[in-house]
Amino acid sequence: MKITTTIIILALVFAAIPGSQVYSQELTATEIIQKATDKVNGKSSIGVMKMTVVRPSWSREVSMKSWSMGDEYYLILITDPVKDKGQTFLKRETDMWNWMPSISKMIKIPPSMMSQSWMGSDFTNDDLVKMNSYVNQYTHQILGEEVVEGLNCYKLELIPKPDAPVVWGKVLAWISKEEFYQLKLEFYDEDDVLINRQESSDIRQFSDRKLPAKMVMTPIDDPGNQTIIEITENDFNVDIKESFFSQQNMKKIR
Amino acid sequence: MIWSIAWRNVWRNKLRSMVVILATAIGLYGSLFMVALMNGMTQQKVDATIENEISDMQLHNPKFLEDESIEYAIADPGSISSFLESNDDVESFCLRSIATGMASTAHSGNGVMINGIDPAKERQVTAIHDKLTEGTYFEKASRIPSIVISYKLSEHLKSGVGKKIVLTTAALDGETAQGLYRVEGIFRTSNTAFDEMNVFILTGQLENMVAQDSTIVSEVAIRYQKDIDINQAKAALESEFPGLSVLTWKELAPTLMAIVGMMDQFGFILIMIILLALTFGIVNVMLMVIIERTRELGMLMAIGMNRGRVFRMIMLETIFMSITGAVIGVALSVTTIALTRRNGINFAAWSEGFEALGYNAHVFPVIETTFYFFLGIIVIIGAMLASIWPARKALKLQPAVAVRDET
Repeated sequence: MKITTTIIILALVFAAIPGSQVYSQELTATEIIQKATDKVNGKSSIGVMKMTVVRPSWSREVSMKSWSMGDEYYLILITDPVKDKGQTFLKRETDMWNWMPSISKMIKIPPSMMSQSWMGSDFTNDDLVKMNSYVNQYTHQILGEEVVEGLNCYKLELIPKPDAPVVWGKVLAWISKEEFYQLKLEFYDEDDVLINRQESSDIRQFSDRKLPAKMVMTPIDDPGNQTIIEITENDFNVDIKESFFSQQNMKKIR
Repeated sequence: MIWSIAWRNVWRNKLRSMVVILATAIGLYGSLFMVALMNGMTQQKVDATIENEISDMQLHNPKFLEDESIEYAIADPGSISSFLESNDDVESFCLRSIATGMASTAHSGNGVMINGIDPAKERQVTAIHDKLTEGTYFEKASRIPSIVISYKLSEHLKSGVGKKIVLTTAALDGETAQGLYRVEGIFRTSNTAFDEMNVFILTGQLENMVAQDSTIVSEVAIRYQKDIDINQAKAALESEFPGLSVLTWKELAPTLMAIVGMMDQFGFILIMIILLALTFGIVNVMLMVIIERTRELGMLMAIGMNRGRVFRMIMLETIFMSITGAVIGVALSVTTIALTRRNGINFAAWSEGFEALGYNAHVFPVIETTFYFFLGIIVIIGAMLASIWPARKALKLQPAVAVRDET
């Protein structure tokens, strides 16, 4: 008798939430995060994007080309403006290098410089290196479901594991239920004060998959500041080897 | 005879003499007090730098000084420890491991020197544990290791006691190493630049972060007993450990020495300028004296006072006036310095500016006794020079003409 009541209640609950039939029963919070991370990375990719740094009194645009393999290897080439053209950034696992053709100098970005802003944006070097540590360094929990950008999303709470070297107190993530887009991320400090908000929108087709083409990073502390990244092209699962992500290649690549 | 005449002449026109005396007194009082303030500031800066930052002597691997990297450790710290322990001249010493890295919170990040310390030893060498404004100095044992940061850094990172800080540094193999820490204490010295750059963790934690289980000693800091000759101590250490760089505080902080030297000269120049200005005042007054007393001087010469005596009388008058002024000025500054020295002068309203330059805003004025002697000699020489022109003018008087002077 008791069991039947429970089943009926559960059935009613699930029926009441639209679109929850399959996924919510099968996926754990960690699996959702894993899928969302895989979605963005793929095995390898080549992309073209534009970054706009907005400041209260000025804004600036940087165009770049990027190559990636998993979430371990990145190579970014700046193509515009002319002043920064030819600059490359290489990320291998936890290390980062910067090649500056104007002074013919290769710099390994030291740990003490990791907190500096990347190309004057609201992202730090550290953000780029640690972009995808959400799976391993946090515990995940589903808080509920919300609609973001017109899509049904899981609202997840990510709490850093006790020993994990993570500065945030918690991270809230909104991940779409069907396609696992990371539509919104909110970063909180230890006092539950919102620090940064990252929002994605404008879902478009890129080679074999659909992805949000626009990402906006807003630091809450600095009103009027924003960094917008727009992806114009992205090819996934291209043929790149690990050896492509080398210091030699940083200087050669065009 | 001539001395008492000169002394009485000084007081014949009290108002005029008092003006010169007071000008000298106030000029010296002001400049002496300024010099005392500057002396106090530099002295405190030197003391604080030695006490909080660099100690009397430091040992390093010579390469560490070129590139402050954790990999340039001291090869055999054990032998240094036992050598220093058996040395009676050494008051205390401590071993540190040091790495450069980044301290970050959710709000911001800052490049820092990560000092891995042994708190029990460190307490005997530096005074950071006395400079805590909040929290404790490595007294708590919790699962997440402790870090002690400065007030300035915590302000910049928007951190506080009990908050998380992530340290990032390069491990011995060149890989990036990270660790999570909780702020246990917040310190504040009078040197903002030092504060902003330095964080303290347990040496074992830093070793864990960069290289699992090996002991690393990047720096040995030594405090000597009060009256030890630092250069002899240096020579002894150098002959004992030829492979290491041995640096005294003077070599570790050459800018500090430069500032001390500059302040000394600055004080000297200040006094000279003020005395020079005073000298012209005295010349002026003495010329007046000669003109006013033409008849009297003519009379003195007419009744047989020789030229040498007239010259000496004028010179003595000048010297008496300046010395009286100097004595009053010195007496005033000695009492003021003694009074203010007890509690110091607190420039709290400007402390931010003072501390940005590495000075303590609470200044205890101090001046060396020898400086007064030096000053006394300068005042007498100044007065003698100032009296030459008026005295010569007096000598040129023709007694026959002078006695008929109507002014």
